[in-house]
This record gives sequence, C-alpha cells and structure tokens, in this order.
Amino acid sequence: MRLVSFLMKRLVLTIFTLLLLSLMIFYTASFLPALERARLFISPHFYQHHGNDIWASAVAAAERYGLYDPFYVQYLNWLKVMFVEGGSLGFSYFHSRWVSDVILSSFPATLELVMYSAPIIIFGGIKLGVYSARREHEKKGREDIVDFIIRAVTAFGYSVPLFFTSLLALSIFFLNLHWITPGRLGSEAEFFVFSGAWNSYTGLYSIDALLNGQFWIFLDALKHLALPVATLTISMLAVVVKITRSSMLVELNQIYAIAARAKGLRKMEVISRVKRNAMISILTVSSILFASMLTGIVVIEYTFSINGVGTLAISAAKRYDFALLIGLSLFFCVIFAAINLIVDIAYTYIDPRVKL
Amino acid sequence: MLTELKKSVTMKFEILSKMFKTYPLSLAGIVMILSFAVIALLAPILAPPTSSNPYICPYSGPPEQADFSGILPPPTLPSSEHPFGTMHGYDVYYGCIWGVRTAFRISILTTFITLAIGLVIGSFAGYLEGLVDEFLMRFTDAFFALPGLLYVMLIVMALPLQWKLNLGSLNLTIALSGFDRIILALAIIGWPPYARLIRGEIKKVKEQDFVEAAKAIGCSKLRVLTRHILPNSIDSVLSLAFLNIGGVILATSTVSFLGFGPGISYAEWGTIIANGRSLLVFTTADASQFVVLLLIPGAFLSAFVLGWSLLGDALRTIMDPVLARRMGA
Repeated sequence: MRLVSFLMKRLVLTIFTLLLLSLMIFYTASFLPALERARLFISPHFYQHHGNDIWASAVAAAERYGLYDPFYVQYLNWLKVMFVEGGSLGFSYFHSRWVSDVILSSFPATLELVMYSAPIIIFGGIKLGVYSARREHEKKGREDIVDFIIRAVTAFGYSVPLFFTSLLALSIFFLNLHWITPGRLGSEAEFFVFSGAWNSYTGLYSIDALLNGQFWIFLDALKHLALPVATLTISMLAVVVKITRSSMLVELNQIYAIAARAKGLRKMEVISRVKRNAMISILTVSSILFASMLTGIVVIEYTFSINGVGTLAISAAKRYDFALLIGLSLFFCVIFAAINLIVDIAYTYIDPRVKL
Repeated sequence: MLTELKKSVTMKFEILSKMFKTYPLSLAGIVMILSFAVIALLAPILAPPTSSNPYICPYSGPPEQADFSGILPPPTLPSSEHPFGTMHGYDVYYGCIWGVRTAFRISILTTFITLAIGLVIGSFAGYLEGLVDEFLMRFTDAFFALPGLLYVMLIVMALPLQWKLNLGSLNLTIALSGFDRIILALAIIGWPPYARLIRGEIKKVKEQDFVEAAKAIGCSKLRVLTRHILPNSIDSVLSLAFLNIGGVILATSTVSFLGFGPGISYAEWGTIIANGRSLLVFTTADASQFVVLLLIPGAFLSAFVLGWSLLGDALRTIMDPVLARRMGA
C-alpha cells in the first residue's frame, strides 16, 4: 500500500516535471518570430488547404492558432494541438511525416547502440571502479600500479573528447585500414534489407537478422556496431569508474567500515557491504550520467553516420525543423523522467532508510 | 589574526606539498594549466593576428574561394609556413594558439554564470525553507530530466543574433555572437547540481551556533546569509566548479563540432576538429594522410580538459578536510 502511494506521489511529480519542461521548451521556442513558429502547427491537411504554399499556410496558421496572443494562451493552445487534437507532436515539414512517426522510425538504431553498450558501461564500470578503490584502499604507502593504470586510463577517457576519439577511430579503421564503413550495414546487406525478402520485427538489425534467419546480416550489423559501441563504452566507462571509485573510497573510510574490518570481517565481505552504500551516491548522479550518455549517442551517431535519433536532432536543428526538434526534446524529457522514476524506485530497494 | 592567517596558509601549503608527493598527477595538472595560461598571454606574439578580429584565423587559400561559395580550398600538410598545416585554407597553428584564449574565456565565463545562477537559487531554497524551498527544488529536479544537448541546439536555433529590448524610452540591442548563445545555453542547463549542493550545505551550516549568534545581535536575513552562512558553505561548490571547467570546454567544443559553432574560420578547437571531420568524410582524394591535421587541435583540447580535471581533483582534496585529514596533514 505504501508503495502504491509512493508511486502515485512520484507519478504526480513526474507529470509536474514534464509540464514544467514543456513550458520551458515552448518558452525558448517563443523567441522565434510568429511566422516561423507557425510551422509548429501546420499539418499536411492544413498545408494542402492553403495551396501547398508554406508561407500562405504560415500566415493562416499564425492567425488560426493565435500566435500573437499572450504567452500562456499560446502555450495552452499548443498543448491542446500537440497532445489532444493531433496527438502526434506536430508535423515535420522536412520529412513530410508526423513527428512521432519520424522519431519512432529512427529510434531502433539508437536503441541498438544503447542495448550493446549500456550493460558494459554500467556493470563493467562499477566492477572496475570497486576494484580500483580496493587497490587504492589496501595500498601501503606507495602508489599502487594497477590502480594507477586504471586511473590514468580513466583520466584519458574522461578528458579526451568523445568526438575526437570517435573521429580518430573512424579515420584509422575506415580510411587507413578499410575494415569498416560508416553506417548501420554494408551495402550488400542494406540491399537485402530494403528488398522484399526482409521482415522488420523490431527495427534492430542485429535482432531482426536472427529472426529472419539471415546470419550473415547479423554478423554484418555487429561488425558495423563494434566501433561505435567500443568508443562510446570507453568514454562512458571512464565516468562510471571515476564516480564508483571515489564514492567507494569515501565509504571505505567511514567508521562503520573500519569497525567491521577491526571486528574481523574479511576484506571482501567489507567491500561487498560497503558497495551497497556506494551505490547510493552512484544512483544520485545517474541523471547526469544519462545526460552525458545522450550527448555521447548524438556524437557517435553523427560521426559514424548512423541514422538514429541523434542525427535526426542535428539535421532538424540545421534545417530549422522546429516541430521535429521540439518533439525530440519532449520525447527525451519523457524518457529521462521515466528513468528518474525508475531510479527513485531503485533507491528504496538499495537504501532501506529511504522512506516510501 | 595575522598569525592565525599565517598558520592556516602554512597548513594549506603543507597539505599541498604532501599532496604533490602522494598524487604527482595534481602537480601535472597545475603545470598544464599554467603553461596554457602562458600560451594565452603570449598569443599575440606566438601568432600575430592579421585581421581586426584576432579570433578569426588567417586565410591563405585562393581568394576567390574565401566567400563560402561552396567549394573550399583543399587541406595542406604541415610546412614551414604553416607549422600545423591548413584546413579549408585556414591556418591550424593560429587556430590552436588563439583557441587557448577562446577556451579560457568560454570556460571561465560559463562557469561563472552557471555558478551565479546556482548559488542564488540554491541559497534561497536552503535558507528560506518551506514552500519556497519545495518549489525551487522541484524546479531544480525538473532540470535533471531535461535533455541538455537538444535544449542547447534549440536555444542556439531559437535565440536571435540581435536581441532588441524596448524598455520604455530605453532601446537596448544585445548582440549575441555564436558563442554567446552557447554560453547562455550551457549556463541554463548547467546550474542545477550547484543549486542542489549549496542548498544541502546551507541547511547544514545554518543550524550552527554562530548563525544563531549573528541573528541574535540583529543582523538582517540577507546579511546573515551573505556574510555568515555563504562563506562557510561555499567551499564544496567552488571545488565542484573547478572540477566542471573541463567539462564546460568539452560541452562547448562538442556543440561546435556538431556544427552549431560560430563558423569554420573561428579559432576554437572544436571548430577546427569539425573542419577536419568534413575533410575526412567528404573529400574524394585520399584523406587518410590528413589525419595528422586533427591530432594537434585534439591534443590541445584533451590536455586542457585533463589539466582542469587534475587541478579540480587537487583542489577538492585541499578543500575537503576529511580527505585532507586522511592524507595525514
């Protein structure tokens, strides 16, 4: 029962958060002149009605949807049009499709990238961070060499920008060694995917290939994923290792940990108890982690020309496709809010002191 | 008073020297940042500017291709005239040297604005409590669900280059050049961690006796906050700010790498690397030899970020008394 009331409270807060963020995003967009903003409201039906002329329909939309009204009226209007009437976040004029369709069609590519890198980043990062902290904690006087190496590699991953490493990786493995090509699939596999023999179940090529029984496409997809996943993982791993290591060190020096060791608990048992407390501080910064993961994905998709959500956002911003960019921002607001909700629930499992 | 100050200075100095022995990396960080500062100071001597705006790299390609007509001049490998080569006709050496100034300017300005917003919001929330605290903290929490990079793109796209303000008889025009909008955007998305941290610290400090004493002798609320509470709770926030300076540069260069910077001629490392990307990806000629051109701006950028992060770690050790005590000082 308490869990239900806790969930309800969190859910209400999440909705409040989303409203606040949508208000902010809309406010930012309201710096644009009204005629530019009118593109947010134009749907294909509206567009055809005004003779397929973007400017004529913009003028009409500005009047019809009250784009010269006070700000709050505009905001409520926009919420109504986006979520109640259209229900599909507006119309992307560049792709000539509904924004939600465009986002959903390029989301699998991003999901595939995350699916392969996130487990390594989270579990590998925590494992490595705990190990490094243990070495640092048990050292006697001098710098421990394994810990030093882990820290040096972490500092490298932390400070060499992801766009630079991915660009270097691309130029070495694509331009010099000719091992891979950018994109999600090789040309042969891509030809097969766009032919009639291919059934798309999930949109993730590596999974669809297995479902279709085409093992060579599965291998091809993995080959194209290897480099993006590897570069993303190395850079994100550094962040997780750094946070885990420092919070483990803080916890290992707490009095309860020293007392546990003094009373005769084995080193490994102390570590496993302390780890649980260190997890709390890792959870606390997890929202920052997800934000940098998003940045990483955008950069990786841009350099390796993967047609995912990140490249979509960049092209939307460069082509002044406001409806798409705002739709994407809202989409990620929802995802982040959902993740934060899950993290909040995870807190209660890890830390029994947190009241429901 | 003076002896006390002297004592505390010598104590900090002892911690510092001890730290250099245990963590030699922090010394490396200080050396790196100092040498970057020297490069920034000597920039006009190392790379004399040729145009009126020193942040624009000198152009040496054929003049008819300088007007962005679509065809950009091919890159050239390092030579005696251009030590780091040229990209799109712009001198990479000049860009790297003046990029140091750009980096310092952007990182310090952004951190300052971010810190100011975070301090104001966080200290109000922590000091005033009640409904104000609740609202401000929910507001802060909401920001953690904001997709930062997309919001930066939105701001860069939506904010006009010239911002006209009509305040009655006063007509103000604020010109926002390329990086100003990025700085503004990064400050808007960057303040919540500071606000959260300072709020927690203030809640801790304000229960202490000296705050009670200050209130008892009749200090106003603002005075108690600014003269008694803030100085005692600001240390951790400042060390976080130092730790984040490198991150700010990473963020700015990422944004300009993705193509939202001030244009291909600007002396900034992210922009130069973005030029390198378009060379590698879009040229039909054998591009593999031009990878060399990327390495130097990339090394500058990485060293700058690494230096700040090592320095930030060192500062946190000094400012965090628990950690410092652990190290035996």
